[in-house]
Amino acid sequence: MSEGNGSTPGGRATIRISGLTKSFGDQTVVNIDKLVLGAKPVEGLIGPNGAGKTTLMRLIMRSTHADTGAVVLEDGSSEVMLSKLAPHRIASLGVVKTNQVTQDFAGLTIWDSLLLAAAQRRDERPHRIYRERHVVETYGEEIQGYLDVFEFSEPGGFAHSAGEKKLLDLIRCLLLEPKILLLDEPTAGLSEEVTTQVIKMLRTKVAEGMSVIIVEHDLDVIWGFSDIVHFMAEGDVILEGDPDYIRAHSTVVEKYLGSGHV
Amino acid sequence: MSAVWDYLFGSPAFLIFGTYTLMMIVGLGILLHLQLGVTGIGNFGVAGFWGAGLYTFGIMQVTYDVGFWLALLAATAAGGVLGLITGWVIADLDDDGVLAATLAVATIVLLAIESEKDITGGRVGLGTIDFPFDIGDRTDLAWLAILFGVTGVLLWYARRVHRSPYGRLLIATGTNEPLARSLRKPVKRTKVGVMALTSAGMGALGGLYGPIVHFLFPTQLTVAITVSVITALVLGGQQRPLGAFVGAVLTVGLFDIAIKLYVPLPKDLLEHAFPVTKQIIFGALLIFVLLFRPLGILGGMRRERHVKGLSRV
Repeated sequence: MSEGNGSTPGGRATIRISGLTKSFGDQTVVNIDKLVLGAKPVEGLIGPNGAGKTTLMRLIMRSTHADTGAVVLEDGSSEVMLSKLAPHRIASLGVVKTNQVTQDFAGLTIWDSLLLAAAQRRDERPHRIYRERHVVETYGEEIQGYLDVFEFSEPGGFAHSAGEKKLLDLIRCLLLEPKILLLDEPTAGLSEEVTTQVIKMLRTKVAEGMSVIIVEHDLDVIWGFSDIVHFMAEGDVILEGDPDYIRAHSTVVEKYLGSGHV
Repeated sequence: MSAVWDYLFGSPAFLIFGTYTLMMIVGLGILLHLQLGVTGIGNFGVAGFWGAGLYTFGIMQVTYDVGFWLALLAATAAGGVLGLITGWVIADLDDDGVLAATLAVATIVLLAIESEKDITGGRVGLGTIDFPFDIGDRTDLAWLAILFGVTGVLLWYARRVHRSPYGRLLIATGTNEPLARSLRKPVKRTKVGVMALTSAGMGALGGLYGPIVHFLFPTQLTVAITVSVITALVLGGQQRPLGAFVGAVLTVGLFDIAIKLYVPLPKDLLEHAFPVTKQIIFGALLIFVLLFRPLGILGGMRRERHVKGLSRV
């Protein structure tokens, strides 16, 4: 399965997957024997539609339950079996995912939504009804920093367009200060200018120690941003390597890119 | 002047009892607002949680001769424990399942009260329960003042919740559970917690109702209480803390106080046709509001206002 750069866990937290399968009816969507994600700062996950990329991410986050297999978070000397934890516990451990399909809280404004993401459990107790000031003072500056970079038509109100909701989703995840951020088509629906801003922001976070695993159909983003690329087809990762190796590989060209793309 | 006074307050006992009911509906409505309007939990068993408190209070006072404060504490705990268990059961159910399960809880409470005659008195009733103090003619008024105070505290708490990180967590839980989970929010624990807390409040209100009626009967716990609370909240605005108050004034205030006191209806009509007509009007009102103003008279939450005021928080 593995060619090119192998993944060797170093100082970063990694996700080790073994024997992971998921089927819907008769169709096996994910069938991965062994895979390590997060060893490199930025890892791309590409493949044709239906290859199982989004399902793999959902299995890691346990928003979909696997039929078999284990997903383990290795962080320094500790190992945690993610495939036995509730989704909110996985997020608490620093494994966070943006959504492919736009998601938002209908009743919350942009600021509300970001303060919600930033607030800690201790701030959200039923008896702490005067805690708002503390939360605003603690996280307000950081939130304003993001809102200065990414433009919203009405920062004090609700996110309107799909693009704004996509950005909001990303900022919410960044406010969780993840160790590993899974991005599922983060730039879909965004303009070229905003996409550049997003990638710039992500590079800053990666430099600060965050790892990124990105599924993206805009291959220019994958080739320019990833340190290593995993190529998925028919539920399995069939090829791994640096972007130049992957984009020139005959299997990728044949199954995904087409001969005119290299 | 004296004539006006007599006209308005000529039947003080009736006016006071009507206002007790009004305050009870407002209090329960505020708690239901936190469940339904904020967290999205459609509790159709309000009468059960309230009744659990009412009967626990009565049993403690009458059967075990326990003092007022301990009995009230037991009533609060009974509502809270029932809410905790119910919250745990309904946390993973869809909206229809929650409605059915909470209605089932209220039915179980009612059937338990009717069948456990040795403890509850069954259909014969349980009594008598007196006020914890006696200041003569003014005892009723003093109790009403206490109920006003308790309702005021509930309103104050609900308003503070809207302006707190806890309120934001409840809104997030009510509007998009998977997204809330992905932001490390413990959705199930949050729902169980809010059910336990608000049901404890309903139990406490039940306990406070005991001295008003003096004698407890299972007929006091029918679905009519739940329907009155839901009608008031939906009419006033389920997403607003004051919604229950506005709705209760326009329903209970209008029908159970104003019309009964000040409209000279024939006694026979008042006793037989009026209660049925009232329920029909409540039902029609609910349908009308849900069709033409789903968020009620006061409308939806005003989160933009809160955000604008964040610098002053």
